[in-house]
Amino acid sequence: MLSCHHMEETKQKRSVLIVDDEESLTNVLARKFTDEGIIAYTAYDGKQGLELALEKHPDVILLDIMMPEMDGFDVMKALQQDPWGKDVPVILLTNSSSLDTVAKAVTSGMSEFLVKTEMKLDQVVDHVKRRFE
Amino acid sequence: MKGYVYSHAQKKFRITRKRLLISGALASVLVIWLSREFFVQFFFRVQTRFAEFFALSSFEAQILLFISLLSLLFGVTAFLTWTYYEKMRAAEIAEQPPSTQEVMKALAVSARQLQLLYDNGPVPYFIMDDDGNVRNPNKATTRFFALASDGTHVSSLYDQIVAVRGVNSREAIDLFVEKVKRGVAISDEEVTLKTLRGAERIVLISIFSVERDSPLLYKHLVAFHDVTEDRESERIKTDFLLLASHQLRTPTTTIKWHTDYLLGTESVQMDETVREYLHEIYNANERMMDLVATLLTVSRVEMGILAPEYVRIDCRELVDDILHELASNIAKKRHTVHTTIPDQSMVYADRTMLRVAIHNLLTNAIKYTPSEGSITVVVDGNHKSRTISVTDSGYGIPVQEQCHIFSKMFRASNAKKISADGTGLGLYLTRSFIEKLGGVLTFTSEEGKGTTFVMHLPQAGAPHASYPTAE
Repeated sequence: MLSCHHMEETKQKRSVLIVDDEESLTNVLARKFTDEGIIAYTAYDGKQGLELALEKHPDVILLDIMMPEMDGFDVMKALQQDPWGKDVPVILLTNSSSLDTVAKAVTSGMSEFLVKTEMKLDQVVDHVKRRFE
Repeated sequence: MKGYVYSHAQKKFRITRKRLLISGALASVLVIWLSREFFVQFFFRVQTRFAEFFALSSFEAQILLFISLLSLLFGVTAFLTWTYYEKMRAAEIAEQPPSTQEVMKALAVSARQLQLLYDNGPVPYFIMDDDGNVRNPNKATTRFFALASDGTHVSSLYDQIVAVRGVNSREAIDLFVEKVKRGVAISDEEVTLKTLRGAERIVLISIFSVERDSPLLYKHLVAFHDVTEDRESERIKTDFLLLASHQLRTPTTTIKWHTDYLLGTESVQMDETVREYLHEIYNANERMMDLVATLLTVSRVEMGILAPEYVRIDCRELVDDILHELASNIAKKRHTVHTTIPDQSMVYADRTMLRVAIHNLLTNAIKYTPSEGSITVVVDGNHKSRTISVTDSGYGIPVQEQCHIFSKMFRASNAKKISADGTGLGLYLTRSFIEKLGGVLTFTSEEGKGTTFVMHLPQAGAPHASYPTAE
């Protein structure tokens, strides 16, 4: 049995990395996670995102696809090469719901596929929290 | 019958110009002779006036008057006989069978006219044998393929086919060729042809063939219509719609998440008015996102990139689920909903497409039925087909507008008055989806009484036969 204090400590340790070139969306989502007591790291392109992921080892990564430098699929490929990265849950968060993207996402080893326009902030947070369990 | 009698009479006594003129002259003389007393009296009375008027001697006046009257009489006679003669002659020509020479001449003229029409017509034509060998291409064909004037540079039409209905495969082309060889009538089939300059053009081709056992070697008449530009402009329009909708998604998501954050957080202090306005912004943005989603779907339907994935669907479960989703709207208008769905009403279809189709029909029924009206959903059918109908006791569709109801962006005049909201894309999409599923969407409507939409979906023999099921 964990004490309340211990639980609080464990909860605070949970972290998420948001990789999306839409800064304004990334920031509001990060703020929501912070409000929920989750550490949110943000990166605005794929390359920066990959570096931050390998450095901070977040519990979950929220990854956009179309980004400058490295796109989401390139980031996925690089993560697969890393001993830690190959097991980290990656949730794809995109606005492209084309069949092509979905098919590519499924085969790239992503855990989930969320369409931004269809999600409320609470729902995104819920999906991430489920991955903590 | 009158004409026949005429010709019969003409055979006995042939009327000629000379004979007519003589008989006319004789008739004039006879008229003058018979009315000689009146004529003499008239002549001398007029002659006196004539002499006075022109200051002539009596003899001079008599001569002048006599010549004038005679000229007038003969003039009138000649005019009447000439007109009569022309009429008779025309009737005679019409009755007489033409001579072989005349027939040949007329045929040659017709053939020449036909040839001119064939050669210079804007539609490409040519004839073809079973192996696709091209003969007698008209100028439009020559221009299209960039052929030499005798058309010998295209040995076979089949070699110029790049794709059939947009499918660039040997099987699709072979199937098309097989249809031509069998003499199956081909009407406006979309085919991509390669010209001799290597350009690819999309055409709607029609091939009319004579009987298969005909001794004719070139038994297929081919005509086609170049639609490359039309397809290109459609593609540009659809691409634009797709791009615009994609680009709209980011700003609408930004509005959604920021208003959502402000409405959900306790860390920002705001009064009730601000909160209320934020709700308005949030809801308006949601409507815009729905519109963008619909536009995206329309683009995908039109680009043909939306292929149905057939699964086995329980109609009762699907309808109940949609009704559950729409429950608050139904409750707001106090509608009574009846459903008649037998157990095990299964249908093979694409779940998303069928869901959107039923959802659209039910949303319309709720929107265009006054408060306390009724909505009925009936699922029926057998192993061959399944029908799903949605009936409402609503405002109905005006008769004169019923033919446009499935057109893109169309909204009935009474619908516009009832609700300003609406894209005019719902029914267009619903029908597109039902047709993609191999079905048909029909409706009956009476203004002021209500509307029934019926989806007819195939079961056995439908393309789903080879598709995996969800179970």
